[in-house]
Amino acid sequence: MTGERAKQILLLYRPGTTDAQDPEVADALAAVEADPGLRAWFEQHCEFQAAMRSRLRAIEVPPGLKETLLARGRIVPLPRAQPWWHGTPALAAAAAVVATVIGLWVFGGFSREGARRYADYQSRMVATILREYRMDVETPNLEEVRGYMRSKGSPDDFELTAGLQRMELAGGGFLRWRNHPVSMVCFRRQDKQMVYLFVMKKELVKDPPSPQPRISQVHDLQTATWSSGDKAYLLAAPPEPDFAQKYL
Amino acid sequence: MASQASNTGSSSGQDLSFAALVEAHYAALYRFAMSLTRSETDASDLVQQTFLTWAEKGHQLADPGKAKAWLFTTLHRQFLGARRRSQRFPEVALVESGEEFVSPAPDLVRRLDAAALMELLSRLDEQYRTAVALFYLEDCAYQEIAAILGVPLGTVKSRIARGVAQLKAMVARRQKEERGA
Repeated sequence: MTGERAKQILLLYRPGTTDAQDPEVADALAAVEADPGLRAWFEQHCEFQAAMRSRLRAIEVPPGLKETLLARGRIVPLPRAQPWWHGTPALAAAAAVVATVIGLWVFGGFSREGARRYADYQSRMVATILREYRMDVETPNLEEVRGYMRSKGSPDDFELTAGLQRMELAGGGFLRWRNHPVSMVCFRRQDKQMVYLFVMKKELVKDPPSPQPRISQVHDLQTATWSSGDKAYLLAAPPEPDFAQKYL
Repeated sequence: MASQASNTGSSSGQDLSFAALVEAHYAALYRFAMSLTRSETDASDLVQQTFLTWAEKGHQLADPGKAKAWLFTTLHRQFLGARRRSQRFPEVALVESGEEFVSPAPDLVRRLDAAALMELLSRLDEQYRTAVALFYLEDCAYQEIAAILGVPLGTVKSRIARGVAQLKAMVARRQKEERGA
């Protein structure tokens, strides 16, 4: 092997790694042993490689990146479930017939059960703030909001996410969903848009959200839903790319 | 507030939980992303997008031993996608020019800070830069780098050799300029 060829190959060599196990590199290393001129080049090359590796690995990672990643790892997008009858027209027709028959048979019962679904609650709450809402108390003081909710028999010992704790509190309102109390806490974004947190007892729905926050779009708002303790939380805000990072 | 999304169930005993993967790879992925973008914000975004993709699709990975390569590959693809680049990189020969076998004094490299080295790295031809970044930032075997980049082993070796030679030439030029100044 010529010195030039050995140099070519040894450009691939990193001291302290398994590179020497590569047959080509092993041959080039053997050539170094036999050629003092090549050895001098190689020693300097090794120092260059080691310096490059150590300097590049010294690049600092932004503080908080890991925490952000871990926080976002808790977010699992809602699966986009596709109804099974979407497969073929024949199946779709059959499904329509079956659905009609079942619907006529158990209409009342099913509709009542459906009304206790979390999706219904989620949709109603979002529709409320899109249509019209009012804050019963306007205050930057969270204790005032808690006190008001307590006086209405609505959840008052709710937890705020780290993201919400950093936001400006605007106030709160008392709502009802199927005659059950719901606490609405409002936060003001820097662009003056509002972010809403709805809290109710999770036992009031048949299918409370999981402890893992789930992100989904409801009407025109982005929402996150999760359960913690005996409560179900629903957060809603105008869509943002870093929604989870900001508010959870 | 919530438990963490996980992708456990590894048959090889490797911990593929989301938290363990973040712990093991986030810094290296960030440095790799920095070598590609030279922007803290863009690099952070790329890393975040990579782990989000893992949270959604990582469970599809059949071989848990390939999680690291999967993460680097995904990040690289996202970078390429963002750059809207899809050209195929040509095969290149190993270094041939004697001029490129220069060996700059290592003390100059030690004097350069990481940002300056990143700047030099960014001036490499793009086709070499990615391979060289993985070569220096991670102890990836050549085969592993080839798998991440989705190119043949010989191509990866050529790119690394070419890239390292270019890098050495740039450092040597800088050294000459410093001496001349």
